[in-house]
Amino acid sequence: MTVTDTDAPSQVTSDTVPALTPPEPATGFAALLGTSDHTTIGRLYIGTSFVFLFVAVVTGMLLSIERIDVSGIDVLDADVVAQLFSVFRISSVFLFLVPLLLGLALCVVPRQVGSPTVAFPRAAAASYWTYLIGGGIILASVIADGGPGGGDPDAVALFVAATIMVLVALGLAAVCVATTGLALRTEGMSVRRTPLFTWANVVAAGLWILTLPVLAGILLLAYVDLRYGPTLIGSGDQLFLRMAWVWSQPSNYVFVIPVLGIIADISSVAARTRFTQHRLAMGCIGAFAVFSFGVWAMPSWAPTTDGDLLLAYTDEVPFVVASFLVVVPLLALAGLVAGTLRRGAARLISPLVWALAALVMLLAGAANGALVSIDPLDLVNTTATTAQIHYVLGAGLLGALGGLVYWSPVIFRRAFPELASTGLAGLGLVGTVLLCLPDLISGFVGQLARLGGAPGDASSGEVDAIEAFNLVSTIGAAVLALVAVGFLGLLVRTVAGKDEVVDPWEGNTLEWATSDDLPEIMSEAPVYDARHAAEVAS
Amino acid sequence: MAGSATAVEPAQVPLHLDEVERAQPRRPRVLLIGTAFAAAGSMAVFVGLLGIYLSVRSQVLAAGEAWLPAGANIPLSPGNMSMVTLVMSLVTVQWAVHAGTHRDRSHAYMAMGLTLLFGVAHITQMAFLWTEWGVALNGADTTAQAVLLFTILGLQVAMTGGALIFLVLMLLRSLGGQFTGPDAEGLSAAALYWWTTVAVFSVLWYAILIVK
Repeated sequence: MTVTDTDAPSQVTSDTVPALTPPEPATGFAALLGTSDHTTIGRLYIGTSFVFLFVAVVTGMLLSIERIDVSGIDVLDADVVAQLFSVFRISSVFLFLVPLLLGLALCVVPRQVGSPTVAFPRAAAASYWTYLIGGGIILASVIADGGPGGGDPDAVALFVAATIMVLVALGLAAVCVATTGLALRTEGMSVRRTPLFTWANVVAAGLWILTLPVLAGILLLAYVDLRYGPTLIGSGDQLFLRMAWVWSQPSNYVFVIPVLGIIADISSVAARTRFTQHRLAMGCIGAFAVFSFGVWAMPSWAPTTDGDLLLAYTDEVPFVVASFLVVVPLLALAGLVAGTLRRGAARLISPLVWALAALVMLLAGAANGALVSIDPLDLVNTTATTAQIHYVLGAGLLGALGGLVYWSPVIFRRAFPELASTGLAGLGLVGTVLLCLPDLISGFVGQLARLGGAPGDASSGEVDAIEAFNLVSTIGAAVLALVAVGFLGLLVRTVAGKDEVVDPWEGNTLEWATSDDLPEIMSEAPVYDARHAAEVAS
Repeated sequence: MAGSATAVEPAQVPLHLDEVERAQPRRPRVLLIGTAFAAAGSMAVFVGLLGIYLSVRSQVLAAGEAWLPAGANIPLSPGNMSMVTLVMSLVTVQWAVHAGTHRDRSHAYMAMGLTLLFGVAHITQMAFLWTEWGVALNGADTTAQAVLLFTILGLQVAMTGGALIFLVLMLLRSLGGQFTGPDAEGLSAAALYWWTTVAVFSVLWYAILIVK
């Protein structure tokens, strides 16, 4: 009798061996912590970005109120102005706008290309948690007197390290989105048939992957310098100036590239037709991206404390050329949007109002940027440059919120109330114009950027005019703050609603497919094709 | 059960591997594309940092000063040895990919092991260089040159460490049966990142360690 002949297994009964049962699925926070579902990660990004939006709103309002009176720093402590500026810029770009657009992309892009998941889902989850922790540390470090101009060197170093964390996290999420758009397209969906939102995200993510690491590298230099120097950058104004190129033109256009895809997708669905000249639109988005790539426009590294360092490259020919050329693809895309709306049976749905508002503000921002690049106008380092930044950020805000309204049935299975959403979009447009236009005009009068006040040779009449413009601009900021609060209220009400909505707009692309079986992909609008084939057949 | 279909023909087992119909590679190559994006991002960091290095250096030279501070000297040998070592690692990493693609496990592991060895050798050579070059990050003695040199070359060493971890992970997954044969995507992705690492060092080697 060999060992294998023993009948030991027969002695094992169900009483002695516990039944093998799959572990209970995690619930609550544990489920969130371990999730790799792209929609959940996208929702987390979206929700958290709104928390940071309010940081941007509060700091922006404080800075806006401070500059109404141009005689000096009187509302805030002069020492905290640089810190508030950096918090405002970082929270509005890297903690709000880019994460919100990434959250939308994580939810929508896999569905648009017919993929059940995002590429590298665990990396996408890791990127979210890194962003959350990094963003929290940024705010904590500023509270601990860190950030550019902060008094505590350790807190400044912490701020720099946390900002690097956030940039790495956003870069990682961008890799996931870009890879999904390129590698996980379903059968039949060639690159040319890629929906415009996905295409815009692939292009944007590619540029973010090339832009954010450069800023992270500069911050790494700053960190080493702070820990062992400082000899190169230091903790003061120089630190802010070394970061400022990324949210100045032309780099700031990079952060709104996905908005072009949102505008295009919404306009074709609102018109109940395909997008006119899909491939040309892809080319427009690509060209806009090329002209918005602005790493080369980093200011000189000459050891100086000159405030003009902020835009020291603005007299260079490439800057002027890029500033003008970036308008061309935008105008072309606007023409295609208009053509699409004219060709189809356009209806005024609320996402279209958001999208058109974003397009108009982006055109205004690009025109503003072109004006700034005209040397004889002498607008560099005036509030005209601030206006350009705010136009672009405003366009990003309006476009991203419009995208959230449009894809809310995909992301939350709920739809925003149309009337309230349309009203907020209109208010957002008014608020952005009120915020930016007075800054552009007072830039012509010579008001200096970053609370620099009126020019030294300004007459009392000019100072009065500048203060009046600043008051109007502050009202614009307040209107935008109201829009942010109102939108959050609508979002909470929508998500908590009971009425499930699947496809209120009759969408064109795969994320709106209501059947588990994807339709055959013969064009960039497969759901539109399937719906119309069914209509023709009936 | 006479007459039932019990007489099954024995399966035709190919005698030679050449007769085996080769499976098509798995599509899409998600890991490879993702790695390409990550490699592009990594290169962007160094392009930016090197631009800053060259800009600051040119300003110092334009002011009529020497670039390296007094007492600093960058010896050529460690950097050159590192460069040669990394060039050899390019051969071995491609050897690993080729062997993995052809299911030649023993050669794949040997080649990967050699690549890891060369990578570790590069890191130790750079660490040796830092002890020799007379540039220090040390409070009041810290110079802008020291900040730039340590940050850029230190980051490259960190990148090498990351690439080594990636190689080890792909090696382990190959040991587990993944990413071999036509699906040697993991090894290819790790090799792509390794090539990027070496390309970055070759530029830094010339611009920083040779030109000085």
